[in-house]
Amino acid sequence: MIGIKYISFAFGKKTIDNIEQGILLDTDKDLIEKKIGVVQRRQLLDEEDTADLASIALDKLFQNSNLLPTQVECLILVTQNPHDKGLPHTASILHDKYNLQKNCATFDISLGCSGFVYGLAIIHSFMTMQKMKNGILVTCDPYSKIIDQADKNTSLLFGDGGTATWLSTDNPIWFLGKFDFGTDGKGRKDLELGSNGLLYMNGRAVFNFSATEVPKSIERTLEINNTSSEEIDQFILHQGSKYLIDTIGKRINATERTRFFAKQYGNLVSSSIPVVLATENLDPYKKILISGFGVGLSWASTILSRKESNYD
Amino acid sequence: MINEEIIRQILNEVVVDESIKNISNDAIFKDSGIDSLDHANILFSLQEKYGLIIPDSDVEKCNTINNILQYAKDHGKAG
Repeated sequence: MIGIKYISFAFGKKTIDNIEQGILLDTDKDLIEKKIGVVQRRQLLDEEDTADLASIALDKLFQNSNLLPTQVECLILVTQNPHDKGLPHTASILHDKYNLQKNCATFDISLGCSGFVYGLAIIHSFMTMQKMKNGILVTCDPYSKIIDQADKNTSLLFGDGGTATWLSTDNPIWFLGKFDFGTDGKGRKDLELGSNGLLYMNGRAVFNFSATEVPKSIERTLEINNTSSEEIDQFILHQGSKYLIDTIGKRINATERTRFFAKQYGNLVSSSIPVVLATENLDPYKKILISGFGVGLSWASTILSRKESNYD
Repeated sequence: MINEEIIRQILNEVVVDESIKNISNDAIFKDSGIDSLDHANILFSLQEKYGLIIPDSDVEKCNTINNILQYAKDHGKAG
């Protein structure tokens, strides 16, 4: 049975002090610390691009696990800010860099903050259909390429990060539950690339969307997986902002189990959930509900269940 | 239907700082320590619970308790 075996991550090498950035944008320190929740952000260096950051995560995956590049049967990458001009797809650039086999399938998925959860469903289905044993899901969507640093609606939120998630049939740690997906295409213009090539976000509309749809998606996800809220040890949501996470936590009556983790790196788009899975101590947890939401406007949720034999 | 008590109840649910919870009906939210996120959250609750839809262009008009009440009256949602 296919599941998650290992997750590695990388942050942009440049560190931005968000409090200092806030002063430049006439934004109160309290608002940054207590509401946005991000005091430091990470960004790509000027000379770096998407595949460079994704490679740091992949280097760590190959160094820290026993997975060999020759064993990788598919590499799927989630981004809306692909390497260079986006053609060829970034996954093929990584295929070349790691000398993956010619029978290794690669493709990119165009999704934002819901992308990791969508990506898990896609790679799981793809591997199942093709009877593959090892695949990698990469997320890397460096928003610094499209952020107007003078726009305080967006520039105080986003950071650059990348992750590589190894899915395997061989003794995985986390199994995937049933998924809940959805889209509200009517809201797509509330979070889009403007004609100037920079990100536009209607913060109020995105907040309303997230506060409305994510609790409903969580409820449906619990229902289709025959799981009660009390059985979930942690709700690891897309780390949009502390305020958003706190609001959703209240609305699902799980404030203690719905936490904001991105204080030191910022909203990493599709990498936000896997970075939390990779960096936090999940040892005490048997069941985690993950939910990604954003660009589209779209959402995706599922439950990760730890392999029972790990609880001897 | 929306009235002063309901607006204050929502404000109390949204705002964490106790000193802000007893603001006067004419106190401008921003000047009273209610930031744009809490302001948006208050208006979201009014929309969700009472169907008061406030477009982005009217958000600044709804910047006090009294102004929200007036807006709700003007749109048939006060009572």
